[in-house]
Amino acid sequence: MTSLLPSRKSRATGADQSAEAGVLRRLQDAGVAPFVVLLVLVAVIGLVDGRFLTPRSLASLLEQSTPLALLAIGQCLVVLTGRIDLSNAALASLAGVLLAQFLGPLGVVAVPLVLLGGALASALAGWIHVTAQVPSFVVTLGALGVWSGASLVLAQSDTILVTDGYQYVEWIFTRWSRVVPVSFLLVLAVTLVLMWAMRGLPAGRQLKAIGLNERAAAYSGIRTQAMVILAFAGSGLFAAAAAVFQIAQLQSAGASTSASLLLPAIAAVIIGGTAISGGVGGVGRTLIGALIISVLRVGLDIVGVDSAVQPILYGLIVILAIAATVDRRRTLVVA
Amino acid sequence: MTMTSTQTPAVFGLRNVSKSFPGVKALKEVTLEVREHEVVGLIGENGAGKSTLLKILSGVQRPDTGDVVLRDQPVSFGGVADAVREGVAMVYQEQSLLPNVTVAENVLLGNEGDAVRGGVYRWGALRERAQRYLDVVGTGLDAGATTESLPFAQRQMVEVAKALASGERTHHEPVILLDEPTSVLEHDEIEKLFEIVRELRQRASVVFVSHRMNEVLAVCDRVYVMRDGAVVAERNPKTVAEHELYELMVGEDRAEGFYHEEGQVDPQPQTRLEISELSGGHFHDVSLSVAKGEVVALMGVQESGREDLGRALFGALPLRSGTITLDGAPLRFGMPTQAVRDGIGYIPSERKIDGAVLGMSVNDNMTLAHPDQVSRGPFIDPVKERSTVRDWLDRLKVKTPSAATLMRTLSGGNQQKVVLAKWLLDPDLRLLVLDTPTRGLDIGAKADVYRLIRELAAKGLSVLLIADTLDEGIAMSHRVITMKDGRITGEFASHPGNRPDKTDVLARMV
Repeated sequence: MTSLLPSRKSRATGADQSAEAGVLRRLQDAGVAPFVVLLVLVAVIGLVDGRFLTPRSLASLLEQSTPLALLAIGQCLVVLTGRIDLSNAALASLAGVLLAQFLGPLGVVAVPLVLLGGALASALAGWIHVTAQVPSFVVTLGALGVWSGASLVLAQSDTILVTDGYQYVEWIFTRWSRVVPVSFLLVLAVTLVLMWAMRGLPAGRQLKAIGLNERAAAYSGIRTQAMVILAFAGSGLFAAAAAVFQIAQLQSAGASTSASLLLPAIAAVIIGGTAISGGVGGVGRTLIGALIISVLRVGLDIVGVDSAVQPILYGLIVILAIAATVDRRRTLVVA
Repeated sequence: MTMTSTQTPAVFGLRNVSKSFPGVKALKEVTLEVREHEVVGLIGENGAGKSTLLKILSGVQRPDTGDVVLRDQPVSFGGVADAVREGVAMVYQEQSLLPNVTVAENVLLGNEGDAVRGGVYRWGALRERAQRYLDVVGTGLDAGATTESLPFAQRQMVEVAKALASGERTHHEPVILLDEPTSVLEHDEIEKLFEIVRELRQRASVVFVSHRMNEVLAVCDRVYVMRDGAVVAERNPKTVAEHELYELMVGEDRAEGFYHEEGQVDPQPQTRLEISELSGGHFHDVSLSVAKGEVVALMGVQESGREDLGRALFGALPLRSGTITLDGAPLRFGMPTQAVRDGIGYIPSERKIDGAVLGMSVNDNMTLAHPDQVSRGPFIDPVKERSTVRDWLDRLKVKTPSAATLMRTLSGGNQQKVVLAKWLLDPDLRLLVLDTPTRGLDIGAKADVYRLIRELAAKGLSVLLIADTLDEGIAMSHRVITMKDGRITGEFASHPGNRPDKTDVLARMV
């Protein structure tokens, strides 16, 4: 039998580092690390290209980050319960196509309808996941196919230009006093409200308890299945909100407008410090994670890295960040 | 320990084996031997150390000190595979067969030898060899049958054949470990198994572990009795009195004061819980009642249905039939959420898996089930929460650096106190179902939990205690109810100074 324990030598050095690790862990719990990473990234890119640090360019960066941030925040709710939603970016595309088609005929009512529809669509995926006991990544991978196929059918591989009714959403991508982006303020406000709710409402703890130990949560009387469905509904709601922001930004919608945001959004959740195994993390740090990804994106453009390389980078970030942070105690086999 | 009967040479055994787990000394200096052509029985109460001993014999775990001895040589099994290679094989309670392949494939799994050539099965050779072992077991089993099409008892025979096959390579007769082999069998299947065990004796040594005394007496040549991790006696089943074995199993050392018996207060006259002809899980037609302020101990061995009954009362296990009323009002719940609302609390036996969220703080664990007790409107009130949690930490004397400390870092006893407080937070708590609440706790923490149970009962809380040991169940309760095979088999009143006899209670359990 191969030994699962580290050798004597590596254990000794591990003990020396434990005090230091305690401090680091507390900082990690407070979400300081991603914030520091964000500041360093901004500073470095600012050094490479001075124009990056002008108010206009920073405002534009914040604006650009909002659809990604919304998707990531929704994803975070699902990840906190120990699940994953692979369908949210595809759902955002579908919601965008629907909104582009109905904003004209229905007017502003189309916006809440699409938000509600997004929440219901993801709740359905969550319901199938809990009742059929199919792993969430399988259900949502299937849903990804369904949503992206539906958007293709509806949009017929065209980009739909929004003319009638654009005025209802246009204001989202305006700026106060020419500098402060309304879109980001909205996202920030939503994040703060959600952070406060997660802290102040029992439901916030219940979500985390489910992610950490679903059986203990159930044995405490928590309606675990309903909470998981609720988290999925949240993910769908935020995906639809991302679609609204995309249309406000682009004045158009295509069948795969948001599809490329799936991996960056998951990367944002993880880089923000939410554990992929669930229970640890939050929406505030996910917003920081989304900003890191956005800055990285702009930075790579400035440095002149081909945009085709970026998905490779997000993929590696996801793998490395998970490998570095995953709690391996859970998976150790004791026989 | 010598016996006068005709002896064959010892082939397998343990010499001065001790094994500890955090907080528990599971085995203490255990010595036993298994001789050629012999069926050795192993009996003892829950927690006496039988499972640990089997795990060491079968190579799942290693002893801390002492030796596993095989044919007079100390051996060190690095894992189950090592033990099997030496001809020591365990037939598990939960079967380890692949359901959708033939019996032959299962019998020779990992042991195909020349029945595989170039990675491909030679079906003829495979079946022929497997059939040889099946014929030894003698059940008329067909090696070509699909495993999942067989009834449970026959699959158990396939397990035995598999164990036999794995022992063949050693050129010695195998040692077969049977762990509770009858617990899932029907009556005639049990008879059949006994025949097979007697047949096996011709070509193997067998270790037979069972909760059921009559079976051990029926099938074994020699019996070891375990108590508190030690082998306390070795007896010949042909000559020993059944009653003597019970007495050996329970021992005589009950520490007075440990259970706070002076704190026992008579229950109040009102009936709190009334269960009528309840069936579900592993229990059938169970009727019992618990009065306000009464502690009822449910005693039984594994698979007796008492754990399932506890879970069903909490809504965590579906019911087939029957009714439950709480303070006269019928309950119709299918989920713990409803039970919690009705004022029922439940402490599961697997504290670290089911009871506590180890990755959350002490504070969050304590308020998980009843957040309304620390809320103002829909929101958690941090001031109220802090003072409530502080209050309970003090009352239960929980040792923790702070309320924000992660549950994981607390000792078992302190974790259990927090889990208890989770329910006590509810001022309307009416019934507490405790599934082995003191298992794995140290002596001091146990005494604290006992004192708490007494105090709560005196204040009118009803408690259903699924006790870890006979001592605990008898000393802590107003009434002891025994269960066996899913049914109630006895009821004993229990007062300080007039406790039921342990051997009487045990006799209704096994």
